[in-house]
Amino acid sequence: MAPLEHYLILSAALFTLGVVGVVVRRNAIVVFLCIELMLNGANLAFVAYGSFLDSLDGQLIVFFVMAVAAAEAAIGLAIVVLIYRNRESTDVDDVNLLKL
Amino acid sequence: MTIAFPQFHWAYLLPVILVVAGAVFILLWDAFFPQRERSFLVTLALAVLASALGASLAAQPGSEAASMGGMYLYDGFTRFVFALILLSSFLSVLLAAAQRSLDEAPAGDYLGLILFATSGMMLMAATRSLLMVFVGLEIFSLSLYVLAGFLRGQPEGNEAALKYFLLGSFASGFLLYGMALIFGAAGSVDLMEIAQRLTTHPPSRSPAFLLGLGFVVVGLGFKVAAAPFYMWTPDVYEGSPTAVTAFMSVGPKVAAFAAFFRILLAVGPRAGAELDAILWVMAVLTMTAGNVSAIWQSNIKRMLAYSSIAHAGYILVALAAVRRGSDLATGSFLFYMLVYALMNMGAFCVVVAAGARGGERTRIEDYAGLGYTRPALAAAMALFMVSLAGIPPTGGFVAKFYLFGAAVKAGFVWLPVIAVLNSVVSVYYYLRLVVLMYMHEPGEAPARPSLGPGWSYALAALLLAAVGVLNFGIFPSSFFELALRSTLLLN
Repeated sequence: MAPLEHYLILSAALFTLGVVGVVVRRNAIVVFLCIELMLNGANLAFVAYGSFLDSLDGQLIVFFVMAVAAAEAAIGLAIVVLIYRNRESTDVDDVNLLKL
Repeated sequence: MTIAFPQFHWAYLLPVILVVAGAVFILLWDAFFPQRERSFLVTLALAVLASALGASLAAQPGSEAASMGGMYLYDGFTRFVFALILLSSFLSVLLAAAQRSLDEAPAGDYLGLILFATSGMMLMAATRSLLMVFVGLEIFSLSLYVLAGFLRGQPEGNEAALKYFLLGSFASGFLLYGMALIFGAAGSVDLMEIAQRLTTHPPSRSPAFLLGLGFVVVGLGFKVAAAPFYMWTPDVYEGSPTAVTAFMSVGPKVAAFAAFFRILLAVGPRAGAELDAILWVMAVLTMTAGNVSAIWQSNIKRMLAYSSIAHAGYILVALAAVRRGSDLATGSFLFYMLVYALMNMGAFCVVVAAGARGGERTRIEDYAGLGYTRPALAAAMALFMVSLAGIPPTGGFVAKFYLFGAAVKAGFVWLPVIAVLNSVVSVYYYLRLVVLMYMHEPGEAPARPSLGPGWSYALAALLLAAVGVLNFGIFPSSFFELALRSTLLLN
């Protein structure tokens, strides 16, 4: 089995890619995908730690997170569809009615 | 590996079960009988919240054995926070029923979502497990994302929902990754086990733990709108329906602060001075940014958004004191949240009641001369503004007095001084509204906008908030003692 560090580096890389994506990308759907990437980075860390610590908690938590992520996807996509219907764009820079 | 099934304690779970069952019932009822009167569903939601409040007050806080493996902890702190959350939901339901722009919206949907959000807040506040903190937070966040964009035809609402959703999920990602790191460093997500582990393995030697704690602070800091993670607040508060804004400004803050509080209580005494410094800087930045930005606002919802950021800053002062193990700080934290809930909801209630079907009065100039056209409403608004500014004889003054006193007792000197100076700044923009209402001629705004069928709900919410704010200002001691006692049972 690969050592714990490998999993942690991969999970940190996934999480960082997600953070960078949220900051850099402008399409609401891509931003949302990057958030999912962050959650999955955290999931990988949970599973790796759980396996390393010989604790079921890590895997159990991942199930909860997956359920939450699914609910989040449903609501997020609904909001994006709503935005698209009202202004024919999913670019977050176009969403500027309220002054920042 | 054996899995021990914890014993269930139905009396402790009853408040949450009532709220969830009520939410499901209201959703289904509206789906099957959509033609029914809205007042029936509103009454039902209010009854559910009132009975949940009764159930949580009736349940005597339990011992450690009753904590269901740390997943659901019913102690004195939980009981007080439950009462607070249920009170703010009760007021939000009243406001939602009074708001004219929600008249055409499906009542079952938003009432159900408010109740679901309430259950999430309750779960988040009543647990020792980081997993339940995350799940509770997501339950109420997801409900609030929908509620923010509930008026689908309004582009501002859509925008508020999108911003809240994207930034909120971004923050949840940080929170979750922080929890993963803490889990790895401490070997558990149970705060008590984490605390025990920290006594044998000092956290200063574990960078993963410190990084994880930092990420958790970021995630929770976002939910309570602390600097520098408050950028979303004014936009989301402005774009959401006012009743939802009122709910957002109180409920999630209570729940997130309660979870924050439990985490600090567990890891705080062992995490050392770096956490002190972080909380200190966050508190000062939050209250200063909130107060200074509120001065320039021309929209009342944005002004109240910045004001709620400033109040989050004051509450962070209490958290810094709690970190140092001050019992007084816990009590004053609870008391402050109680008064804050009433006065903030009250102010939003006036905004709802002053609006009409055609349009809400959201510009601050719209309130010019309100003292002549709607004297009772203006008097209530003046009371809430004076209380938010922290001037006697209102609850806001007493709450601030206890809070800053607790910070001084915990050994902070400059933090309370800066907080008091901030309160002075805040007097300017709160009293500007009062001056506008009483010393300016009414503008061309509609003279007497009709409240419509919801006026009795608005009246009830206003009375509840105003009586509470005055009562806590004039007779604070019994409730403050209740808040102090609520901390003694905390393990």
